[in-house]
Amino acid sequence: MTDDLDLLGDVDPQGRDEHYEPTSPWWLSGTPLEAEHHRLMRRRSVPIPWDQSGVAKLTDAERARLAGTWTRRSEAEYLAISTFSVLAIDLVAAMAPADVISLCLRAGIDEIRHAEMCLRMIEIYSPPGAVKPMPKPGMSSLPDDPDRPKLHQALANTMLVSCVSETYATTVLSATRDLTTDPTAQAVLTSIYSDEVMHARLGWSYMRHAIEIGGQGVIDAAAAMLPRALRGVANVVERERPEGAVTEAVRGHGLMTPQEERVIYSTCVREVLVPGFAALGIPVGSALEDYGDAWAHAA
Amino acid sequence: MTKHRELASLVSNKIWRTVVVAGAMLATAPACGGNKPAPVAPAPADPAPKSVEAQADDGKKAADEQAAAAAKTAEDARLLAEQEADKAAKDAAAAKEAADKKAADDAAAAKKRPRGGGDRPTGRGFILS
Repeated sequence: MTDDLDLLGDVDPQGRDEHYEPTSPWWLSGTPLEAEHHRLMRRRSVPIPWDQSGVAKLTDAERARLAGTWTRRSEAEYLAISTFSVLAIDLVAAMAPADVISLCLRAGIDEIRHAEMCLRMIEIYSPPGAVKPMPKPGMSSLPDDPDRPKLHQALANTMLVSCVSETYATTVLSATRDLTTDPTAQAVLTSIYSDEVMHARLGWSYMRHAIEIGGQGVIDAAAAMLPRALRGVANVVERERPEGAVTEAVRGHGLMTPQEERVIYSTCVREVLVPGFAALGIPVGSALEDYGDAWAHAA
Repeated sequence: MTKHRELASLVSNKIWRTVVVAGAMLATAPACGGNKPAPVAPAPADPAPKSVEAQADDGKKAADEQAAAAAKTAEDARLLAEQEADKAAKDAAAAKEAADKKAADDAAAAKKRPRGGGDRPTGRGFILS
């Protein structure tokens, strides 16, 4: 928790943000639900200095590169809303503890807020007068095998979503924050990062709990899912990026090169994921070889 | 890129502590099947600044050592679990034997006449003077 408090400064992550402003008001229903939505989002809000963005100093090409990146991020955040909803179904079916279910559902709400912030960032980097950005349609689906025990399915999908994907997300977000100098981008990345820490912890805690109640069967289910989970994240890292160079100015607005992201993921596998799974007694197979130096430096 | 590897290791170390160790409670090993956990060595502290190659090697070495220590501790926990399971089985067998003996004794006692027999005097019992 000390690291969480350090990166949020004196902001109480559970407190009410009196400086909250609707983040992407064009993505709302126009009904009385809006007021309740704002109350919900205000509770876990980190103040974002929207008016302090240094976008005016960027070239048109740099703005376009960043708009493209935040568009990709908004797609991922929007997809994550349904990901946590589907995962919650698996956890309910497995009779997971109440705190696991509640925090999984809260993670889905967090992802809505993340998507709102991404849309706002797209607007900031888009040309004046551009159409207001909206989320790209996308629904998540997690592996589903009705023949296996509910506990095994819940644990396997939690490993996929939380232990691997969200843990990597915290790693890359933390590294990205460290090179971000723009105040608005820094605050947005900080807000997202603080939530992702909890999203990742959720998985590791549930995995610990599941192993203690389910024993070897759970361990086997986790071991079977691991290669698939690692490959899933690798696919995202290897994915082609929006056009445009990552200049120093662009880096200052919160973006690293694909080559740098490969090093981040390879290091995460070697120094975080593999030791974590090994400590829980889960065989890691060829993970270290698959995402070692050769993969890290392939481009 | 070498500077980036340093950053990657520093970030990974932070995430290891705040996410994995904290979330999975790695200060104690998991107990499969509900038995008591055995202690596990915690993750190493932040390394002092070194050359890039040495730090990368240290990171890998530390990860290898952690994995080996964790594997050993997991094995210890499994052995402990087996021993406790054996003991529990033996205790259960002894309890069953005692219960069977008691049941047999009770059944034998039930066959005796409700009056007389055993230690109590039979016949006329007391003497009428």
